[in-house]
Amino acid sequence: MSAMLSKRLRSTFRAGQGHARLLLKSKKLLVSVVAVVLFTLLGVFGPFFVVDPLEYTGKMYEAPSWAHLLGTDVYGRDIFSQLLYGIRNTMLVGVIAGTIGLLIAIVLGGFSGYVGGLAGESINALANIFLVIPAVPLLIVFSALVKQRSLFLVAIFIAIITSWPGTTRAIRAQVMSLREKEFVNLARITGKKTRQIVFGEIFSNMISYISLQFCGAFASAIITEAGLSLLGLGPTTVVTLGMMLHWAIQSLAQQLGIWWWLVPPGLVLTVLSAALYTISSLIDEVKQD
Amino acid sequence: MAFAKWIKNPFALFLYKKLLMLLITFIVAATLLFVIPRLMPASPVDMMVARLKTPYGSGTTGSPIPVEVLRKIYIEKFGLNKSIEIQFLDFWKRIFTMDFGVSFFRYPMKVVDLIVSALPWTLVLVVPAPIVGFIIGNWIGSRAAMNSKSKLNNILYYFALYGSVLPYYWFALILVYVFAADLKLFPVYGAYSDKWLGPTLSLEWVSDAIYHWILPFVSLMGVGIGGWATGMRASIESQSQSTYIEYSRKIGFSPDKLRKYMQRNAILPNFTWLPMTLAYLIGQTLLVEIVFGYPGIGTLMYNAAYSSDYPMLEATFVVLMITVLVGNFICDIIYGILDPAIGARYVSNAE
Repeated sequence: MSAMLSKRLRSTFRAGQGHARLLLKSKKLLVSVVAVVLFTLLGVFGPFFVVDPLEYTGKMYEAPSWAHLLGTDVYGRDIFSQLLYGIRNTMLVGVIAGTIGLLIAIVLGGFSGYVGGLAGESINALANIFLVIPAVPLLIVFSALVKQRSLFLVAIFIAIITSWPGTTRAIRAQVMSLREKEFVNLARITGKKTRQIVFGEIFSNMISYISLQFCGAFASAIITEAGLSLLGLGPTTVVTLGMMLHWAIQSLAQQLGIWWWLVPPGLVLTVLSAALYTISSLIDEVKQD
Repeated sequence: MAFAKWIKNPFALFLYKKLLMLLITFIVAATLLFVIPRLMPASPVDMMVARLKTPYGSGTTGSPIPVEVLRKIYIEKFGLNKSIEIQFLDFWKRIFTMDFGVSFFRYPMKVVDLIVSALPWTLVLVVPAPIVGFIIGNWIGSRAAMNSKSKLNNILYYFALYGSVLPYYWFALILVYVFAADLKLFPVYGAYSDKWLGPTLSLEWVSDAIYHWILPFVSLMGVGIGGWATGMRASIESQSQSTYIEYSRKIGFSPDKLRKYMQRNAILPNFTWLPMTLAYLIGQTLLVEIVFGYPGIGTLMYNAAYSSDYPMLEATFVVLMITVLVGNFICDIIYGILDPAIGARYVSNAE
């Protein structure tokens, strides 16, 4: 038993080494991982060091200075502090929506891929249908029905409408290909229970694949949340990056040329989502392991 | 006899199957639209009544009608006092007759009339954007794959690639800021100048509308290019390693001819992505409309969301859903025409 365990550990470690090598080999991947880690740190710790993002601390439209690193908005609120809170809350929506979407996808994709049959086909068809439904309009309808929206509620909306269908299809495809592998057949012949096969043999070999899928769902949830918040239909109780853009549009910052209000939130969104997509696009390389 | 032949035509079979799938998709989407508001703690009626409450005193509306009476009127108007099955039938009746009642935000205009006047503005953005983006993206991608030594090709390719990570709405904001507010090359707002009170059929108005259309169009079209370019590049690279190209090369086909073959075969896998992007694109169009103050469906939806105009929300979603499905179906038809294998595949499937 312990010999098997140490063997498993060793092979995991070897796979980990492989991933570390991959990380060093690909500069793009290294930059992406550093960017995501950096934004995570900024989001987690940044808000402790800045003023309240909703407090009126300066004059209207102050250009960036040492007092206000990214200037102030139309009410004289500090944009840098809004940005740090925005990073925190936007990433939180992304993580929550991505996690819920992933859990749904693991259950549905795993079932549909391993068990198959009519139920499996129906799940796949349902995922395909959801991919054709335009998500933003449906989210607008949902959000308009609730006047006070918490961050958690918006994350759930995003998860049940957009985060699961693509991931479900991907996981289903991967489960279907693993199901036919020799070691799974061996486990089946030796009389292991289905639960043991699914978790012990199939999902344990998909951990890297699943975590990369998570990065994709995370990125798309961030972009969706920002789009929804841009309309003022995102979370109403906290500052998010999309909310900043919403305020900027409402004050016509793009027409007045207040670049320090427009550029930072969008730039953070772009870099963060691009980094996450880059990481998740390595799926193909991991799949070949 | 001729009829039977027409029914069994593999191309027609392919289209029936696609049409059936789209119909099911529409039913699922519409059912979601019906079910979800009914699962929420606050019904549309509560929202509308809440909006009417003035901050002074509870339960007054500013009008002489008390809130409870208003609520009753609304509930009856929406048929919410009927059983759930009847409500569901009413819902489908609204969709089939396209009679969504009167807008609350733009009382007493009819929802359908407002949509009919807004839909063209959305369509002029969302129809050409994927087509032009697809053509330019494939052009850039195939050039980058075929002569990868050309500097210009590579610059174009990486420009498109990095552009594709931009969120559409932010790209739109930056375009307004740079080209409209700062350089003053384009108008900042609207679909035509304020001096026109409404659309007129004069050359001057049309050119003015086109002038206002350019920036929103570019923000929708530009972001998509990178995806098509990378797809085309990968597709051509895999084609160039295939055996038929290897063989053609060995027997001495000219590079021009090889290029023509590869391009034709490489475009098909790329094209299959097009319908999948439509649902996403239409959502982004709504956001870009808001940024530009473009009077399309997005603006209608935005106003409806803010004024708790539920009939309008319901109707706009249905119309957008139909637009996406029609777009999907057109893509399927084009795909069927482009792909010579469909006939063969469907014949073999039938057996």
